[in-house]
Amino acid sequence: MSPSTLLGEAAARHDPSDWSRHALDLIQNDLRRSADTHLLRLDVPALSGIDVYLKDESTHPTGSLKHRLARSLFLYGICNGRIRHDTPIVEASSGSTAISEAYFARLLGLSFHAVMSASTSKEKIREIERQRGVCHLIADGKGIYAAAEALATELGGVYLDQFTYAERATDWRGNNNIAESIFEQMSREYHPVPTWIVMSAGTGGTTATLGRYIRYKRFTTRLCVADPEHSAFFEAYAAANPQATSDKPSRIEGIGRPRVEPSFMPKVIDRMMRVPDAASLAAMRVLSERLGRRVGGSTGTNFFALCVLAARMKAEGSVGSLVTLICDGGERYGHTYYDDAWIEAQGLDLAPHARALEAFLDGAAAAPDAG
Amino acid sequence: MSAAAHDLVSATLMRTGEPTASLAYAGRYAVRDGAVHHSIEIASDPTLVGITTKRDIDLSGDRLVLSGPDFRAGTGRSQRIAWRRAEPNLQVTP
Ligand SMILES: Cc1ncc(COP(=O)(O)O)c(C=O)c1O
Repeated sequence: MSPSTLLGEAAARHDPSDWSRHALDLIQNDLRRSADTHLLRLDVPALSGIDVYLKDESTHPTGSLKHRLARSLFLYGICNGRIRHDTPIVEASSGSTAISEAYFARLLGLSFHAVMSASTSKEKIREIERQRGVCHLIADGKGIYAAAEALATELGGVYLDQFTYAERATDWRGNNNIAESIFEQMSREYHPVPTWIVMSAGTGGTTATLGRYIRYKRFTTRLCVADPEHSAFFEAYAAANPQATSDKPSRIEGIGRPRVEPSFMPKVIDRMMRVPDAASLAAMRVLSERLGRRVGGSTGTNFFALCVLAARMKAEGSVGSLVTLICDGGERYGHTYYDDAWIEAQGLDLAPHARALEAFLDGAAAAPDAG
Repeated sequence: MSAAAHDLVSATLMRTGEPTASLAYAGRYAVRDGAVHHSIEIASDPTLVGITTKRDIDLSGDRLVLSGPDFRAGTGRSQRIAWRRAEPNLQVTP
């Protein structure tokens, strides 16, 4: 009998231990069918001696790096006995996590509810609904945490709470986490130990895993976290202020938060950079052009910060490698970041940033930032 | 132009064409009824001291347009200055 039939039967018998065994089987089988994501090498001749790599997390079955987190959160919930055969699942999300969680909830025959800001892209909402998830949209993005908690109580369900549990649900010492995968894929490259790994933070879970793994394995790699314009994380780090807040919601979906999330681990970070939103979106478009396919906004933030670090390495005459992530693809942002009318309505001017970055990548300018 | 706390304002204006010209003044400012008023207290052109200028404020998105009649009454000319909010600078920790 197939694992999903066995799972259904265990649920019908209200047999929690049998159900959790089959649920874990299903999740592990899903992982076994998946390949690791690619580590792409970006060809930038103007940066001779400085090699740029992109870990392409857009190729997961649910299109973003959050596929890893969703898997980990379900495993964590099931192994802790919180998720059972009849547990409604609730999450607060900026969209990508909810898409991935809706996928795993469906795999396990559980109902799924996403509580999100009303500004979440239509494409993401459609994707969650396609996975049979229910979307609850909240006008004030800061209200998603309380609303998700209240909904879970009302439904008698579990609030997965990625912002709290991301850092602990992931196996930071290995088990093919994203850090182990990157270092393994880099191991035969010319500069196998990157000078910098660059990543932005939503929950902060990915940066926590990267930073902890770097220390644990005693690599000399440094971790730079790129933050968008409207986010509490930069101040939390730069001013050592865990109470920092941002009044305006982040315009770069998935990264930048109004509060310092519990999964954000400032002590594993070596440097932070606050990237203007126009620079992030210009970098997103420039990189998409060079790759021949569209990447998402947070990837633009990552790529811009990587270029700033590469420029400094070049100015110092140092060589080495830099790695960042393609967090998701651009198809989710056709009505926003790739729509010129939307960009203009936001009061953003990408052109000077795009010109500066192109000039840098072509070797015609020393730095990628405009002005 | 720079405006600071305590109502103080200073401005330096330059013309790049021929003949070149420049003007600098400082004083106090106040915002009321959708306009900003500069009361000039010292100026490179002493005849401007004591004058209060009025500039209507038109703010939309990241654009600010200040406009109003010339400093001196009777010239028939008007002034119009368009500002754009600067991009935030890149901030990097050490
Ligand atoms: C598109 C995108 N990029 C980046 C991130 C940040 O990842 P993390 O939550 O691990 O900090 C997220 C998280 O939701 C995301 O959706």
